[in-house]
Amino acid sequence: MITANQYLMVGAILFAIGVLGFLTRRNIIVLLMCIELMINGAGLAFVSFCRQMGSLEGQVFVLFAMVIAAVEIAVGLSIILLVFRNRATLDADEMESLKW
Amino acid sequence: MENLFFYIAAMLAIVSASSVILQRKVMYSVLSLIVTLLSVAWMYAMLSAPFLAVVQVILYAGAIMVLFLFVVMMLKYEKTETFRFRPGLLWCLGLVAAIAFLIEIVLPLNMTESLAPAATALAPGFGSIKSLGSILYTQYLLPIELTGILLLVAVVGVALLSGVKKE
Repeated sequence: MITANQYLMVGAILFAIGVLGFLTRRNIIVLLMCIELMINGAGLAFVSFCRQMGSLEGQVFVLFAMVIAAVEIAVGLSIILLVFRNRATLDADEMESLKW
Repeated sequence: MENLFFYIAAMLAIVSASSVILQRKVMYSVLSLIVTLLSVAWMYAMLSAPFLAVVQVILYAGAIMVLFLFVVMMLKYEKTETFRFRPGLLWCLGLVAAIAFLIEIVLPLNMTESLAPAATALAPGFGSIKSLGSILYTQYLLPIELTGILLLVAVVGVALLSGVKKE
């Protein structure tokens, strides 16, 4: 029998891998993907708690989080495209000036 | 049997998630992230959230990752492939912070006694599209409408950002 703690553990590990990637990688597209990893880790925790409590609120929250993630990726990727068009770089460490 | 399925899904999720942050080529990162999202959908299905699992596959592994793939294929930039990680000290600090975070979040989970499986039996149709829809459009009506406005704003914003300006 799988307990809720095991699902929470998987969620925590996914979140920590996302944090690790976000803090160490250079490529800004990979940074966006690490945000996705973190959202999924949190969502797994939400769903396992909601299975535990027998209420649907957690699933509703995960649904909203998915929509917000889609919006964020759409806007973020178009900003990345714009930066690449103007600065010809994808390195997050090179994007240091607010105005070019 | 349930144990076996859970461990396969958890292993797939963790291995492919580490592959996301370790791959040299961004394209391979995107493909590993798709595997991660699919195994998370698998775990949603095991946690009696079938609708969420379907949405995860369609919206995340389908729509969002296709967007990622398009952008990755459009942009060619090789410097971050030879130097994957941030220079010098920043890389080490990030690693230390992430490990500290993992310990901080795993230790309390280990110390608390494991939550017992849900005592009350789940209502029939728990997590189905019907039950989720009936709570979404009554109790969460305002957030749903606000999410619609947010989507509209995002569409306008993306069109504004990526539109070609006429000189």
